[in-house]
Amino acid sequence: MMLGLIVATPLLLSIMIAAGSWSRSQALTGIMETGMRLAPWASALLIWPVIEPTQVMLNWPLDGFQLRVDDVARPLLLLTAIAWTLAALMARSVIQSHRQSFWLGWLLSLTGMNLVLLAGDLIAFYFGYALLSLCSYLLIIHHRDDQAWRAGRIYLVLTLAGEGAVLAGVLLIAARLGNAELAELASSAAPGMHAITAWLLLIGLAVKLGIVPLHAWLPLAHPVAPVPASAILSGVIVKAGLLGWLRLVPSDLPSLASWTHLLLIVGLATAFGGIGLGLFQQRIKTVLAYSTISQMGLILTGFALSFQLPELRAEIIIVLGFFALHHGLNKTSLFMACGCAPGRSGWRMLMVVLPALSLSAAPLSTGYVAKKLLKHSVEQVELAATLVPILSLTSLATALLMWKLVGLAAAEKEVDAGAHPAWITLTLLALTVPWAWAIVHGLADPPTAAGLWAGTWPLLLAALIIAAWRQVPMLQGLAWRVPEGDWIVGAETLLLWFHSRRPALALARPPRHWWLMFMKRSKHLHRRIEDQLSRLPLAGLLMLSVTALLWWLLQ
Amino acid sequence: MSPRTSDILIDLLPLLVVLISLLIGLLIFIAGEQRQLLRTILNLSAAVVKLVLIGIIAALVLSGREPEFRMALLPGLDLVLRFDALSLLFSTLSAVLWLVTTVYAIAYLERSRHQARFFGFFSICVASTMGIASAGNLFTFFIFYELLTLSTWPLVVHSGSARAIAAGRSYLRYTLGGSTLFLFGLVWLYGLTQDPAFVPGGQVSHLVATHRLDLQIIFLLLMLGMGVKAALVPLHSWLPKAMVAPAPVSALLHAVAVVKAGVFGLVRLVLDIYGFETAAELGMTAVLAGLASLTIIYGSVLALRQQDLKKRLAFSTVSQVSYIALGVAIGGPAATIGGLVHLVHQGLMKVTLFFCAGIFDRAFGIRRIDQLDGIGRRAPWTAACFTVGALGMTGTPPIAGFVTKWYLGTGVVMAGQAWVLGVLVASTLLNAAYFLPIIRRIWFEPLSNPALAANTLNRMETGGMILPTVATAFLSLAVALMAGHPLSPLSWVKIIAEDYFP
Repeated sequence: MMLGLIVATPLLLSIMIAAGSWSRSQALTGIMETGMRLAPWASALLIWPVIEPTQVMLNWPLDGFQLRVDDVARPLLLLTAIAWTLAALMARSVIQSHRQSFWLGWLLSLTGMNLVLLAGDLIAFYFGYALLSLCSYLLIIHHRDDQAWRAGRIYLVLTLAGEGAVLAGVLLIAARLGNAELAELASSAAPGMHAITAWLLLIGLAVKLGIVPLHAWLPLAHPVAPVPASAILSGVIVKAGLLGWLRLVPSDLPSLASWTHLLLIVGLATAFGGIGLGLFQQRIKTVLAYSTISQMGLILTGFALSFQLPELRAEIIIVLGFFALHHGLNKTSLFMACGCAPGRSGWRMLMVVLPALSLSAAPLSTGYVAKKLLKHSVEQVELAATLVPILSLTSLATALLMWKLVGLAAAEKEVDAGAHPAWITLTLLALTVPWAWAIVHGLADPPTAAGLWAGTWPLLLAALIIAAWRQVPMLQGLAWRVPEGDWIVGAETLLLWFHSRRPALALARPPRHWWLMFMKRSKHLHRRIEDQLSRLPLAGLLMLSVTALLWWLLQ
Repeated sequence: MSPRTSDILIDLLPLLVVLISLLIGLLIFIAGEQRQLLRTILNLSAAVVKLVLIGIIAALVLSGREPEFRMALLPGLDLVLRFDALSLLFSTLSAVLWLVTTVYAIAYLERSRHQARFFGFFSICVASTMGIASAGNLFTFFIFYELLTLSTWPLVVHSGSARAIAAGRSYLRYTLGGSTLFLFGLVWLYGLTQDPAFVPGGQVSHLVATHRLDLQIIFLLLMLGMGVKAALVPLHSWLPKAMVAPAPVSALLHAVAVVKAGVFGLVRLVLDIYGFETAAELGMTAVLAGLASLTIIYGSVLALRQQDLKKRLAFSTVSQVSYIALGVAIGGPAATIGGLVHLVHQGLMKVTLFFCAGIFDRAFGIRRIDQLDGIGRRAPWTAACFTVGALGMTGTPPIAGFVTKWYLGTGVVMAGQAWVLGVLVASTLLNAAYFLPIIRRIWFEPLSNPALAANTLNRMETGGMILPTVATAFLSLAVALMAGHPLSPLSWVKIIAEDYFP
């Protein structure tokens, strides 16, 4: 019952808000305003299922689906409840234009996220995932300028491609098991799953997580979205992809075990690639977006381990859940800082530095706990000797990126923005809640000297590199830049070039969608086929020849 | 009343359902152009009465009594009208959509000329749809199929413009050409079996051993004959041209009347004349599945290329209707459920989209997609309905199209034809590619035509057209949100599928 209410509340609020546009009457405007006032609290309801596990079966909608709470989703529920609500409180004061469409996107995305988190079976999950993917678009295009349209377009193209793969994967599972319960799916149903199904799901969901090379939408979408929206996009919504992996891709697939190395390589490439590309960015939110990509690479690395050693699955789920909680809260806090002019005072900078340190896994931070847990899992597989030092290096790399971030944050002082209370609250929660979680679930060990050193040396090394870099004036003169979205820029250029090379085929008015543009290149061909087909003699002839052909085939 | 009399009355019900629209059509002709009120009352009361009759028949069928009307035209050639579960699916759809389309058409054609002619043929068109739905054998089906062809023509050319006449000519050539093949196949089949009545599993299986080739050719002839109306590629070209018809006609043509009649014929052909097993053994379902897949992709690609809203919707129909043929051709319970339920779902969503296109044209003079910029602020109800229909077509939950895709998608894999999943996913993406940009224009672009900014008419400028539109959009949502309800189309289709795949 409670779960139904959690899903229905944002839906109801969004209907209230939508009602405002149907008439300019006083009453409807009042309803809309009430809806917007209540909107931020819709996500706070998610606290309930964190505390009390429950389930509900809905018999009618979409031929019946169920909602339930389990341990896999619980850290993400807590993350969503905290981060989404506080970001919404910030949004309430910073969003001034296009409020209606913003809140509609916000609440519908929340409905989708709720369904993803609480889904008990396939239909519920896919429903939520599709809703979330589609409605996040409203958040990305909020500013309605060229950059926003472009980011939205690229987001949609990549997301829909991913969506297609997810749909195919989900249908392939459903063909064998019906509307399978997710809990069952991860445990028992695995042996029959075809490798193609698993790959479709892995790749389709990777778009949401921003795994290289499907990451291109993040660095475009995050800077253009309003601050609170990019905070949840980066902190919370990407985790829907993680949950999808944990739910839908079983680990004891013999066919995937042989591909573990590839997955590990992609994961680490994402982890380092995100940093490498992020270091050459100019905008603070882009840097943060690349940092998210890099962290998701770590998540993939962890996830890949479970294919190597299926017994590790349960442990990996706990580790990744904790990792997601820690990353989500800290990343949301850092994004929200972007709207609060962090460079204006020392204590504001402190509120940036602390989460940044946590993300770089500094000792005594939750990032350190997360990294240690990850390493602990890694130590159990045969590749441990190579992987453990590499994981330490990711901390080093992250520290470099965070240094870049702090530098950019310190420069953010022109805008006259106050430190929003929601940001302050979230930062405090980001520093404490994951700790509480770790202690309650017995994830944190008492510190040891060796452990502390393992966490400290990457940071020291990073500091050394930074100090050395600052000593060489020549390097600082070099202004290397990577365009936001890296490869997608090349792809766009190529398409445009391709289009301009064929003026004869171009339309009088250049189309605005490059995928349409691509289709339009074939304009002549289609038109010719269609014209020919509609000529009657040919149609008759075709009809006869199809008959004749089929006849002949049957002989 | 003795049980005997009530039995006779029950068996007269199918005839009554068909005759009522036919009679109303004649009455409208007699009443003439001027008596608008009388015409409206006739139209609406007939639509409501028919809905009630269908409701009674539905209750009868559910209780296991299938009313059947039989009349011998010639010795051995019976006109049979019988309602089984499948007929009821199609006739319920027709009855519901006829009611909403009538309301819409009355508002749409307000103050235009030749209304008597329009509504007269409109009624006859619905009567033939009812006949097609309840036809108990192939001969009866053919009669009403032809009646439909002829009664639709005046509707297509209603405006009387040169383009309309040309479209009407093309329509007649295609459909009559198809009918020739149909007739040929029909006669051949009657030569082989005495009375090809529609029974689950068909009744030609005993002929497979002796007349294999005959059966294959007959199947192809019938398939192509019906494929013209069902707009299977390469026989689809008449459909986009027929777009010059008034919006309510397009809506009816696409959602229930002509296109659906063709595809309903294909369903009968596979399931009731040949039976799925036999058709598959003859290798015919593979041909149909291939042709349907080709149509799905080709229709979507062409839809992407249209700048005219109604044309884009027309090509979308070409593509979407083939889902039904595909589901039936793949076979197995789930795919058949997916295909058959799309008969209803596609109807509801497409009728919504055409209603919206009609409103955009009638109230704002918008025909091209690039003129739609910012219309969402101006006409939020219409735009919202369009959004529901368009998202539904792409298979977004929780709208009707998703339920179809779910059953069809799982069904094709279960039937061991996983390649079709590729077709479905590609079609989903293409649907998104041609519908999402429209939705973006509607809601997020600034209003392109300054003349529209001023609220010249009152708030409900869309008048009586908006109510049926909202109703069908609501139904598109409701059939998915209540899919598990015992009275939903899905549950009904599941009962039907039990007959064919026990």
